[in-house]
Amino acid sequence: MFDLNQQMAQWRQSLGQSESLVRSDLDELESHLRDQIDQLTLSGLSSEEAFWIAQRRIGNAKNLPCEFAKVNGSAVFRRRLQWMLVGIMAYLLIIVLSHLASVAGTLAAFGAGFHGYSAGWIGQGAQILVTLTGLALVIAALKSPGIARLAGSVGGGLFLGLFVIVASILLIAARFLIPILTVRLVSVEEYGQSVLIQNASMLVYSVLIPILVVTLLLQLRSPAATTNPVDA
Amino acid sequence: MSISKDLVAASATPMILAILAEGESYGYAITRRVRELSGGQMEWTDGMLYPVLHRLERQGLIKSVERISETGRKRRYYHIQSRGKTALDKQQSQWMLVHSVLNQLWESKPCLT
Repeated sequence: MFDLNQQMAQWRQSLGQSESLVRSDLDELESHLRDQIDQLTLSGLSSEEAFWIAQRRIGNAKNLPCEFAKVNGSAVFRRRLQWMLVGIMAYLLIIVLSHLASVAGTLAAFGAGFHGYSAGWIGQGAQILVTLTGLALVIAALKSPGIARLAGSVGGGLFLGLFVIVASILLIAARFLIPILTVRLVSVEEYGQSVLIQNASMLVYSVLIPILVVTLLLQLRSPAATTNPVDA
Repeated sequence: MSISKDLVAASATPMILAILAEGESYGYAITRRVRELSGGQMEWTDGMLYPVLHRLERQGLIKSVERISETGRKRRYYHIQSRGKTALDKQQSQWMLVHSVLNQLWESKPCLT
């Protein structure tokens, strides 16, 4: 059975994925679509037939956003800025979490009986693992439209920001406490050796993060822009 | 006969302003009016009308209000403003000039038969 309201909601959702249409645009287009459907049903079409014709006449999800983007420029830019800020939050979160992994990994390695440098390298391993997982999660999130919409919202940014603050406080606490705990387990010299290895962590970011950025840039290569029928 | 995209784009503004000069209207009614007047020959992609309307509103040529229509649904109605009327006059004289030049050129064509 054809459900007009359900089809309408779907149509609205597919158009709404574009960043250039704001809610009032969608309201106006929906009102147009419904007027057209009323007219077509009056002339004897079923609501299903009327819906398909009206939808065809109003234009598709590929061309319309392009036209609206020209008049909604500032809204488009606001959304992009929002994404950049969410990106910064995600970046900070990955860095803080991977640092936490590094100190925790080193401590665990000492606990398991490893010595100076090797414990440091185990910490580094944990750090790389967490960074890679974080980056993989970011890519996966961007590929899933639901999560991307959530992350791209203001609420998503605030949530991530809160996470960064909590994780940073944990990290600061860990950096105070872990040396104290470690020197009880092992000698100061061994602890010093593990800290030396931790300096290599900069390498993790200067290699892994650019790889992520390049991967994303390659994925974002857009198809050629479509031309515009009505614009004066 | 389908009209080229460029011509559709160029003529959209004066057509919208002229229709609104007749009285307030809304998107769907405007596209219907254009379709009617062109005997169904001028087909806009309906959705493309709205970005043009919004641009004209931002330029202060028209103004819109949202009201509940007779269908019981919300609808955005557009009115022409005085700046819009001035712009329409200007457009009109420009189009008349183009029209008259083309007319003279085509009328003066020697008869080949």
